[in-house]
Amino acid sequence: MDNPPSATLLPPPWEVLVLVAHYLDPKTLAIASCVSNSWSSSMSSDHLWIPFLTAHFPSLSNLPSSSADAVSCRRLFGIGHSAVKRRRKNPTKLKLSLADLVFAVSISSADSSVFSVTKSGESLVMDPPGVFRFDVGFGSDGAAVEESVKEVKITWNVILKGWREVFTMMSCKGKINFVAGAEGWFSKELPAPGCCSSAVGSAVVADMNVGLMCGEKRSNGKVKVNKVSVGILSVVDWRYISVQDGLRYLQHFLPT
Amino acid sequence: MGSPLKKIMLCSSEKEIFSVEEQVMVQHSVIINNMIEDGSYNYEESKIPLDCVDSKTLKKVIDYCTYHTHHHNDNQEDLEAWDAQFLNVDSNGLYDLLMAANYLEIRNLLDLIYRTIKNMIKGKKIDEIRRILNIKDHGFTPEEEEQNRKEYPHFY
Repeated sequence: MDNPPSATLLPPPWEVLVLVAHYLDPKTLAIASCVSNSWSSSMSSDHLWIPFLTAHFPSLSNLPSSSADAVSCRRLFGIGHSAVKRRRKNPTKLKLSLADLVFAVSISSADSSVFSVTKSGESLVMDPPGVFRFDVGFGSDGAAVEESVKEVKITWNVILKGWREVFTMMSCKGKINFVAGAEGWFSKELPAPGCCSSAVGSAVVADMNVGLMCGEKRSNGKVKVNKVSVGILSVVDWRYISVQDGLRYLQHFLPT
Repeated sequence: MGSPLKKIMLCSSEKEIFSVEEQVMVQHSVIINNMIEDGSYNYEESKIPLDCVDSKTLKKVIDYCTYHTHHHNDNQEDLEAWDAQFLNVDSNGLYDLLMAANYLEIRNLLDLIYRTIKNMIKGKKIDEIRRILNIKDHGFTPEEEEQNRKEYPHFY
């Protein structure tokens, strides 16, 4: 059958097309419907496509009739198919690495800096491993603060090394109870990566945990920030996202 | 079921008579099986008229049924090789066979032909299918052709 067609060879008659159509899978049926006008009418009828539509995209098979009137089942299957493909789209290739980044974290009260640190990506300590959550500083980076509840300003910037780009993970005000052993939690919703407006959430938040020195280390009524960690948290399952996903997210805002 | 050596007569569109072992046709053709079972076939006088099947095609169909009746115990590979050789006809011959197999309801032959035609289309580019099946005029308006290309760019 791979012989070159002779001049007398006729295209398949419609009876053949109608019979064969019932035997084809959706993809082959779609190919066949593009071959010619008569193929198209044999291969496009709704009764051929309804079973495929119902099996693959049940949600599209019982559209309200007013909206389904204008569209064939073949077309519905086609758009359903491409919608699924878009959903399954592989994550973008990861070009950014931790080593490209610098984290700058600072906490300041109205009158003074409480804590401030700049850490390069290589020196970040993952906590726990594999997850986008890092310890960025210890007591030595903080200043001693009088015990009291203080309003503080918190910022976390991620800088693309060499000050090529910057992305602000969080910049907010909050209160920390500066008492030995206390902890402060802060989180701020992150913008959605991509084309959506801010009304469409990203489902991730930047998160910062500030831990204060324990009792015995305090001196003359002052405490120091002991430990600061930052991370990206998914609000869907309240877990920290993976380092890969964190970098993929950042890559969107920090084009290399 | 009739006895194995009984013969029945089939009459092609050219009024050519083919005498076939009853068992061969009864086993493969649902229509002929029904005819024999309900007693509407008279062994002395009846000829089953197959007005839409020409002699060349009918001979092929009988060949198929005969071979598969006598070789149904062969191994799958040999049967497939025989089938492939059997279907080595031009596409018009294939369509005739398909219509005959459909008319006589010969399920395994139908399946074989469907598979063959499907393989002629499956995974191929539109232009290639048009060339293989000798479709010179696709009959689409330029707008329809454009629309198809937009909808299924990877088929072209």
